[in-house]
Amino acid sequence: MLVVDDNREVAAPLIMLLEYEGHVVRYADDGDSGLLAVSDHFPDVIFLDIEMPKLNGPEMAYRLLIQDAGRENIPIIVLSGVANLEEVAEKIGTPYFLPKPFPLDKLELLFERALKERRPPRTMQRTRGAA
Amino acid sequence: MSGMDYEWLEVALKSGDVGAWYWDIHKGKEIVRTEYYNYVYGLKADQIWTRDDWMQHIHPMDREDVVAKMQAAMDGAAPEYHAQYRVNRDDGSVRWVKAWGKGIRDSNGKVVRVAGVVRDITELKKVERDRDQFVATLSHDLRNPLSAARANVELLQKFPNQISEKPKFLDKVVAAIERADRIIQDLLDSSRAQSGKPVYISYQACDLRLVLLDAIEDLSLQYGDRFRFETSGEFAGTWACEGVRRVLENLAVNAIKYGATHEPVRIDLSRTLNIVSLSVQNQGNPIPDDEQKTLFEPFKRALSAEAGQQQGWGLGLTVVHSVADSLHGHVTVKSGTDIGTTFRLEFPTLT
Repeated sequence: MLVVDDNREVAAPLIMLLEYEGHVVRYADDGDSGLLAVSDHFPDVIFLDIEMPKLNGPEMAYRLLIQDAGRENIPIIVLSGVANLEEVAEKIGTPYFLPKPFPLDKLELLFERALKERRPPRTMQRTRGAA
Repeated sequence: MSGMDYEWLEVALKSGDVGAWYWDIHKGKEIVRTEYYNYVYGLKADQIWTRDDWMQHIHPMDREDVVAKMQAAMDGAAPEYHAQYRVNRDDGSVRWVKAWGKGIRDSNGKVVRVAGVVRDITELKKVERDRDQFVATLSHDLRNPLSAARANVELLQKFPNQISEKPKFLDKVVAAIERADRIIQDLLDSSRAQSGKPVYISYQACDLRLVLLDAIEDLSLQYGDRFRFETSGEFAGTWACEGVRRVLENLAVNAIKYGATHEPVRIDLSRTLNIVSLSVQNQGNPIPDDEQKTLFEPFKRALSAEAGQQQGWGLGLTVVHSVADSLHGHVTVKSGTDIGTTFRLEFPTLT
């Protein structure tokens, strides 16, 4: 798992939850470091914040898409307190998103769903385009 | 209308940022208009201006809707026409206008003239946009500490036996709630400052150095080990510790948000016998000179900041400025390519 969030205070309990549940978790505090972490080793799922310095969440997702080579297939869970979260998630093309502050059980359900379905970002656009 | 009446009308319209126009449908194509109308559309007084020209100068996104509304008033299908749209001036600038008009009928009930007024609402639109942006970013900023508090409490509930350091967890929850409270306090203070009232600060016995150290530890929890704190001098005494702490927090968060990532933020606290100085310095893109002048006004954010990823909510520096006033001090900024950006608060000691 990879958690990308510039606010450590918010990331810390999420990382702890995932670790208690037996996952190996890595942490990056901006999109640039997130990309490096992905290159190093593909995570099963990326937990992605939206507003971050240097490279923000949507831009990091876009880079993953154009870098290709499998990176574009990693499911992304968007976690953010922005007002237009649905819009941003749609732009990234991921069906997985949750507004902050979120209840942990909701996050767990979403996480299980993402692991099971493994829908890569942009899937929605592709399906819609094909329909 | 006589020349005198026309001048009188023109003065009245201009004072309300209103331009007037009319078009006699069967007398040719030209639209007759007042001086302020010309200003709104960026026209010369003697410029030929027809209905087609008018349509061409409406922003393409708005054009269809506005023209249809006007047409309905001309056809007599609608008694009046109301619209808000953007005007693309020839010089490339864009103005927002609010327009009202109606068809004027002859004795047979046929619309022979369309007349109306346009009001320049560009500034109003800007205030509206700033307010929307402000509400969006304020709610976003409040959600971070709420998120941290909620997640930590839920972790304690979920893993009561695994978590050994419960007091540390609860400290984090309290710190997060305090942070949310300070955001609200900043909001209230900036609102006071805007209505010209001083920000309330209270003096108590405290060690200013320790209070700021505590603030930096708290900031490090959120942003990592980015802060380098240096002090010289004795700071135990009677201070407005909370006020100075809020200045530091606002300046330090700005340094993280707008400064170079992964470069340290240097915080320096020093004093002479009578003057205390607190500075916060970061590397990164400098703030241009002209923007430095308006930085402390509410909702103003440097364009260089807007170009970046981070959305500030535009009140932090207003609060800093107001607290500095209440401390009978002042805050200054120095920014350049080689020196980075330094904000400095200076205020007199309580002697």
